[in-house]
Amino acid sequence: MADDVQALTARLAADPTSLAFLALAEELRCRGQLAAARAIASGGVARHPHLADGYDVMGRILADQGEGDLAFDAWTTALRLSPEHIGAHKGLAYLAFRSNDLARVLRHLELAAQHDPSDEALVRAVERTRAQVAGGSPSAASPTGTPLGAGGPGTLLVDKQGRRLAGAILHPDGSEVSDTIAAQLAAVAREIARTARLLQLGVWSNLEVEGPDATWSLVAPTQDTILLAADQPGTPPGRLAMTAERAARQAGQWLESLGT
Amino acid sequence: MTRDHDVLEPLVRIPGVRAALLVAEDDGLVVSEASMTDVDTAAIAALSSSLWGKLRKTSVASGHRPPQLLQLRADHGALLVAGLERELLGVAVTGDTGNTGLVRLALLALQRDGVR
Repeated sequence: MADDVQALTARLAADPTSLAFLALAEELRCRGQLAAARAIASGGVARHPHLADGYDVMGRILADQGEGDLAFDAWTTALRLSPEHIGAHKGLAYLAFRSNDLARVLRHLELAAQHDPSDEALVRAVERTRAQVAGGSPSAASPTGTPLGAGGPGTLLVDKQGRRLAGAILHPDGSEVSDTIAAQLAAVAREIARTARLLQLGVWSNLEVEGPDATWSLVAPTQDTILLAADQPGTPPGRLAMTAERAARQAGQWLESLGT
Repeated sequence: MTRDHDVLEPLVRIPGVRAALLVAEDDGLVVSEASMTDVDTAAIAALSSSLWGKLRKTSVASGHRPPQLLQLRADHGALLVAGLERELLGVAVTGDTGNTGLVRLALLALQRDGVR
């Protein structure tokens, strides 16, 4: 809310040593004002170099900016200051998830869950990841299903920077094209949002694409992600849309459990 | 009224359709239009063409042929775009009560039968 930002900014202006910088930086991050959020968080961390929460919020901002290495540094610093910091463990799990390193995802989620066993979403994420690790397949890292392009339904989850979070797309010749498609989907997502806004259609919910070789459905599980579900040509669009929405719910829960 | 315009008649007769257009795929300019309300058809054409182009590029990058039809659904309506002959796009915008199933069928018929 604009009022929140104004009030927090006023508090911070009145007392630059206030911990209001934590909430202000997070609010700006959630609004997508990443440069401003980073400036506020940097100032706060400089004033409170022993506050783990400061590095945690900085980690989230850096991750959103695509600065994975710096985000890693921020969260590991948070853990040095506070080894039980749940947010830092979730953040590192998120980075590991983006790298498809399931064992590391599980390790950080388990540590986070140990420190907050009442967090049901976190406990579910641990159980789900444990099952995926037991499955032993890298593609099991996908919260939503099987690789795309092998003849059956497939999914690809990407962030707004166009980076693949889960799932895969294979070219009909068998080569991996997931990262290329992920980058293009980010541009598609921006174009969809722009089109819906300028044509005064409101908030978009679904984009269905019918083609001679595939049927696609695009949905946004969260404000920062887009999910592509694909199936054979001729698949009833409504059915694929339902599949995509179900996958999006699972992806949203997964991302929520990682605190992103 | 051109023959191009005539092919839009079945679309605008569908309840809930706010505008129907033929759009040049490459530059996003309106070739023919029939709107039922005061809508900015130039904007519809430009945005439809741009979105179509990005999806076409993505489809080709995945090893598939270009798409045939897209439907963008939103809170207050929908945008439907179909690839037609002569590098044209058939475009329809509906309100939130529009029957997108009928619009889809009309666009597929246009795709099948041609615009002349």
